[in-house]
Amino acid sequence: MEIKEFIEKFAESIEVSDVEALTPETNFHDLEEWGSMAVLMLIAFYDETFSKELTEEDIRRAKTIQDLYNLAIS
Amino acid sequence: MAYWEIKNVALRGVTGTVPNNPVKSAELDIFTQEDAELFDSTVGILNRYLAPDDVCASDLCYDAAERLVAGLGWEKDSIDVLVFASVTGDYKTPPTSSILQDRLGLPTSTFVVDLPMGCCGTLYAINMAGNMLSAGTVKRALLLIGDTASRMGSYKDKSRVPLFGDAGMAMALEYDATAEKIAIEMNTLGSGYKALMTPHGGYRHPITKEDSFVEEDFGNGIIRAPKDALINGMDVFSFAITKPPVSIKKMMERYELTIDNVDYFLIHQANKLIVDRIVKKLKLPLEKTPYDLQEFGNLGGASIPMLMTYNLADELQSRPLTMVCSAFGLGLTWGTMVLKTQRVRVLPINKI
Repeated sequence: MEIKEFIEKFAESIEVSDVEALTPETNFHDLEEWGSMAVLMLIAFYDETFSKELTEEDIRRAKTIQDLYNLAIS
Repeated sequence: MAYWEIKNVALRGVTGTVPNNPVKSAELDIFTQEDAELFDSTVGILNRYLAPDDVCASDLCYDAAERLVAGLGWEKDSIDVLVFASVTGDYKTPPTSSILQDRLGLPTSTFVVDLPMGCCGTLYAINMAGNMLSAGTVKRALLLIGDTASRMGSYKDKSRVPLFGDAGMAMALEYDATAEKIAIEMNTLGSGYKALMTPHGGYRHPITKEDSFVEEDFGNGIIRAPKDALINGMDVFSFAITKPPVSIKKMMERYELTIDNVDYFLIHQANKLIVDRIVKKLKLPLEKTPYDLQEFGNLGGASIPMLMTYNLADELQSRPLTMVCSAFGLGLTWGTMVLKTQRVRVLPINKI
């Protein structure tokens, strides 16, 4: 999966309305939609799409959407 | 690979008791009305029964056990094995099961054991007592599974308080050479133990007045001290939506089960987010997947027998059922049980 598609799916999973504003450099922790529910949706997205188990630590360490993408394709 | 086929053991009866104290989400001190509405719609736990400070899991289980034994017409002297599956026993020592042997008036020849295995409590209890009955030297086992999990944590911990309810269940197992075998597999991921734990109060970190009661604010409405039970919701979620479905699939393949030849899937009622995900992943039909979390919350090990009592009472009593039961929880441990029942006596839930 290319990063462009990843950003779209990421936005869809945590229900970000303004997808256009997202770039690989966006710090997702600062997004208005980011919160405890978004974390769970993100975990479910990784499980479903990449068969990967995201941990709390993975999410805490990741800062940007690029970091999340790297976790997904690693 | 830890799996068992337990021959000659039948489930005879099940019932449960909850404290007569229903609490809606909006009635919880930690929630605003808006919080409660969001919680209800996403996590799905609208109600829970909470034990007051002077009610223990053993009190709820005692009530369920007395009613079940009477309902089945079992002589107390005929009971050989008593299991108490709980993480909220009366004392640190002795085992609560020994206290219950006396309270219930069971003979001194009873074998007793406590199983502090959390949400997998029912699977552990059936696995261990079932294997003990299988050879036929002992004939009857009473399994008491219950917790007052609401009393384990901080009342200021938003990530924990609204999730749990309290209950005590009783199940009766009996030696029966005509019974269908009970198949169980169990798994353990000890590396994840920190996701569900009570940091202080054991011998690694005994309770000390200097630090065990010191509350820390973790943000997001989570305030707790090291003596309080904690949940790392993210890690538990990640674990619960990935591991149990694999185990369910494996057991269904091993025993040639399909959605069509299984009557019900009893999924540990952790919360709606988790159960919905498991249902979706395995494409389980909703009419075969009963939910009771909206009424009771997460009951820990008591979850599966409560589904039997609350959702399946009529059917368990009137026809044979094939059930696939999935549990997952602290340890981290998880497993799947395939249980085929004949007529099972189900007594109504009691509120005390």
